[in-house]
Amino acid sequence: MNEVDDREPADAAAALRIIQAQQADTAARIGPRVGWFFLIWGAVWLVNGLLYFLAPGPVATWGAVAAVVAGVASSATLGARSGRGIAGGSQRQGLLYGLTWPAVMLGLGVLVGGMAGPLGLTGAQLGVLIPALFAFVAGALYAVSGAVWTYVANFVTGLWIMAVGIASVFVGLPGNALVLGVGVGGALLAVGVWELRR
Amino acid sequence: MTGVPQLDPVIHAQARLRVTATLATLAEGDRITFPRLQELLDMTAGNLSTHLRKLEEAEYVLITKAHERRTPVTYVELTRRGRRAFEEYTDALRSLLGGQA
Repeated sequence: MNEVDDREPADAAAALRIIQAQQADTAARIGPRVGWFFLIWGAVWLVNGLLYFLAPGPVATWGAVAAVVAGVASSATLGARSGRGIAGGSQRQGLLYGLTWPAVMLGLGVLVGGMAGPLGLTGAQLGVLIPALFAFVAGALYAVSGAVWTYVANFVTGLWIMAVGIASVFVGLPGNALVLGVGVGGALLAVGVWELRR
Repeated sequence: MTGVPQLDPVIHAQARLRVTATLATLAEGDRITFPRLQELLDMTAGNLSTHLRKLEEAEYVLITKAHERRTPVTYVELTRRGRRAFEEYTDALRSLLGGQA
């Protein structure tokens, strides 16, 4: 198209403006828009909480499975898309971080499921324990990743989710589902909206 | 302060400044494919190649070719020297502006 374009910036201020604009644009396009992750998982928590509160039983279970699968699929797509064309340390870091979540959550499900029989836990007890544990562990993961990335919103949200998880145990069935849905889902949605707007 | 800081002529051209600034935004040790870089900069392939060659001659960027699933991929990354040159360039700009920016 054009010849070698060796035009210099008009002056030092113009050069600095070029740098700032280019770096802001690049940063926005190569990093995942984390606000979307908050919105996705906020919606999953809210939908699941409402399902278990309003329609406990197989409807809630299958609805929750569908919501989580949709959440995993959209998070994975979002994560993979943003880092496309970039290789190196941050790509590996993102991949390992992304894989930590399903590993922890699946493992937790198996662990609690495996202990339900030996401990003789009833369906009602599991209905309180399982979602509370998921919230507590998810909150811990948010908090630790917020600490590692010095991302304060993530850290504070994590502590909040842990607190909601603990509180849900004292509420008991069926209110615990509502507390978790609104408390965890609502917080994640609020942080997501705030994150995308700033 | 003595004299006006010299601006690195390799970086001090609008197009190469944009290329260098983009590469400096990546985390140290990260590299980017040529097409993705081209997309981020909205430059033609020919234009980008020309500027990358100049940066490569100054050893500011490292261009590596790899094969991924039998498809050739060209990666571009800022060398340590390039990153340092970019930082010195921005420092020079700031001192030229005398802290007014």
